[in-house]
Amino acid sequence: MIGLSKRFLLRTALVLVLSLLALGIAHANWSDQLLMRSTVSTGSLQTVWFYASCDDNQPGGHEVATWSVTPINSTSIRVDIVDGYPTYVLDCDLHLANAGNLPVRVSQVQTSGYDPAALMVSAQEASSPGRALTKCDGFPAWGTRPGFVHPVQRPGHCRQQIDLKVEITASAQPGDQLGFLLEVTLELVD
Amino acid sequence: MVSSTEFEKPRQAEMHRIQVGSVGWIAVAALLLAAWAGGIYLAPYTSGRINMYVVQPLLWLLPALLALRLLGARLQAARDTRGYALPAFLVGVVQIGALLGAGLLFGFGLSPFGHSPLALVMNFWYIGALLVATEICRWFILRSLLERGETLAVAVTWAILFLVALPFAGLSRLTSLETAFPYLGSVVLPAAAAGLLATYLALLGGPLASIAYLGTVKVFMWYAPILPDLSWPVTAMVGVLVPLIGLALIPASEEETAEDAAEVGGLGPGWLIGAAILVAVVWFNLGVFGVKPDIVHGGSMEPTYQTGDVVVTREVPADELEVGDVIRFTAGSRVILHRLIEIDLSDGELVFIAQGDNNPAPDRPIGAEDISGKVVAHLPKAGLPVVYLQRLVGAAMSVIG
Repeated sequence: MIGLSKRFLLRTALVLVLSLLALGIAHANWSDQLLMRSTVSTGSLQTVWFYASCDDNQPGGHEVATWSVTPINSTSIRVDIVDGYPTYVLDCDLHLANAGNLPVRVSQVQTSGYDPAALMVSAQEASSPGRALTKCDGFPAWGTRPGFVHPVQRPGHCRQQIDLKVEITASAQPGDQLGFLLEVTLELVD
Repeated sequence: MVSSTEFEKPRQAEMHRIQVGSVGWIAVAALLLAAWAGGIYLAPYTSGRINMYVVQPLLWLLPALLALRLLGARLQAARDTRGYALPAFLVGVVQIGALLGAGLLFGFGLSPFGHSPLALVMNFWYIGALLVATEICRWFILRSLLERGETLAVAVTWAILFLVALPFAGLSRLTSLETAFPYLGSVVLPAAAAGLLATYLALLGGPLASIAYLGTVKVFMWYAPILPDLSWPVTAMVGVLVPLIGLALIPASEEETAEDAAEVGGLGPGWLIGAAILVAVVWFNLGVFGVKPDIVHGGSMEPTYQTGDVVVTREVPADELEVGDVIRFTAGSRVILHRLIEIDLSDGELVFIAQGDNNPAPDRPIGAEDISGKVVAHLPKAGLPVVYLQRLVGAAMSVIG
């Protein structure tokens, strides 16, 4: 009995090995073509928002308010809260990775586009502010969980975590949307 | 030598088929697929941590609980065959060893996963719940389908569990060739290979055996503070070949030797190792690992390189090249190895000038698009047999002509 299924398994294994061989041949052929079309690159400045983790403090498990975090571009991210209420607090860890080949640092984190009487917003780099970020090698090779990408880090740092805390301080009507823009300013590291 | 019919007799007595009808395994498979899809579709509505540590484990444990409920007293069957946990664990250890060995060659990076005491506990819950749930479901579906034929049972089980092992977010990477190759090589094919071995282990030794293999590798990936920083071809080689070699070598019964195990498929014991070597040699020659061998012909680089020497070139960005490097470039249809003697900037573009060490004049200027790498290793005379063979074939062809 086991012999029958093992025969199937071994033949499938052979197909997988041949697929591996074919994948390498196809990649070699494709990268040769790519090489012929390549142009001179003297360095690129590129960051990527690759992960946002947020928690709010809605009491008793009543999910009244909803939040969303949406990257706008490589340095800006938008945060929105719908149906928020006074005392509602949202804590987020935003992760910015250096995907370019030039080393950069975050020189400033700014928030804008909100009413300070309705929202209290604070945002700063989580550790070693202004530290140099080198390219995340292997990015984005580590897609181990749905929706998440974990680049392996070389010694040094290739990503920066930004701690964001938002508190609603004024009354809001049901359906009201409170939002703001978070922007980081980058500078090249010599 | 043991034929498949010889060792099927003792195995038949050990088989514990589960009579739960079609509804049972279809319900478990449907819940499993729902858990896979649910974790994805609920992600936008829950915070990252809640989704990871609460929603997903609960979703995945549901089909496993249903399977356990349907199994009832027949759960004893899982304990009868736990002797396969040790070889399964050893395959996991070999895979970790291969990854570490590759790491020594290509480098290590810091783990992306948290290592605070809380993170260790929470991650153990996350990976443990998902692993135990999927392997109970694998074993249940497999055993439920055995009465319809062993090959069908293995094929269907492998296909379902292979699908749910794929990270859904990665499917978007199939839209461009640049991301599709790494995704297929480092995620899809290794998941298929690990799933084949896990299904075989579940057939032989129940969920304990498949958990022993998959859990060993998962614990290493999630708990090691540093991880091998490997390119996708290396990840693919290790992730595909180690579990498949394990599959070929783990015997299907105590009476069967490892050699017999590999013979069952009508293929010799060395076929898989031979195939692995073939893949490695072909990939190396094609430059898939980022390095490419060439045999030197001609005397333009003497005395540095002689005809018959083998040089290995590595792809490097054009802006990393330095005067003095020996580069591999194309001039028309010819591939040339010469030393870089000058780098200029013309209209914002880099222009390179190379010259053979034994040549009286430089070559015509070339652009970065003509350069495919620089020499990083030199093996004197290693290619002479190929040169002699080419000359022999050339002479034979001229005689025939």
